[in-house]
Amino acid sequence: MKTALLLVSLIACSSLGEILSAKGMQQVGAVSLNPRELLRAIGRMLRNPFLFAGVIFLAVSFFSFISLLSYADLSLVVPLTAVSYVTNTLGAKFFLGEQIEPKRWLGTLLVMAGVIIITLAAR
Amino acid sequence: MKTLVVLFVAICAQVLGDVCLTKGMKAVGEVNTLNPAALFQIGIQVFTNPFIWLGIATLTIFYLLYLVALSWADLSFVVPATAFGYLLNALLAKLLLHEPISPLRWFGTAVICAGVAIVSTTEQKTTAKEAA
Repeated sequence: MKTALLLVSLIACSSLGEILSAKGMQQVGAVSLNPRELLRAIGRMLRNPFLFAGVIFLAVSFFSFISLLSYADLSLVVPLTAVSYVTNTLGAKFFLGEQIEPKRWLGTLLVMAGVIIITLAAR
Repeated sequence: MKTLVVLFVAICAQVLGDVCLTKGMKAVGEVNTLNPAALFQIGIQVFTNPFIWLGIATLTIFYLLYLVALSWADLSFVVPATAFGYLLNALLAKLLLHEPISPLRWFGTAVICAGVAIVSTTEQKTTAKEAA
């Protein structure tokens, strides 16, 4: 029960954190690497509520992850977190309005399959 | 192209940051108490360990570069693209730590690389800037 809750918290919070970060950066706009403009962009980023919320969700997912690792097996936890490749992409489509072409789905599913194979190989 | 370069530097920072945190936490030792006084002692050890600070600094750089990449490209592009960190991990483990890498792990890494290669041929940005 504790494991299931931590896993849901890990996957949901990491996806939410990523989606909120991306939403914040959509508002900040394309960042230039020119030092002065970069500083100005960092100022806008520090004041963006979506980025602030995103960092908090990512921190919660990080703590869920290390709590899980303190007693569960890495080879159990990591393949399950590979689900987040799909939840992130679905979130990007429905919350951020990104257009996911079939080729991007294919590549994303291959990445997820590869991560699962690697963790099974570590058993 | 610049998105891929920034993501590459970001992933290098992330791998380095994880190594520093692991090294720092191994120096602190296993955390197996919930006694507040003991936890406080451990907390002091954690935050006076130079590897922990190096790890936190490197991971902050990772997150900033990751956000810069997100300002240029879709989340659904950036997330799978960062998976090439798995190749970097396998190569570092093999070359620096001389760990044996099983054929199945190489196969999984190749599948990930194929996926990253396919994603990187897609349109990076499909949304417009949004008003704050």
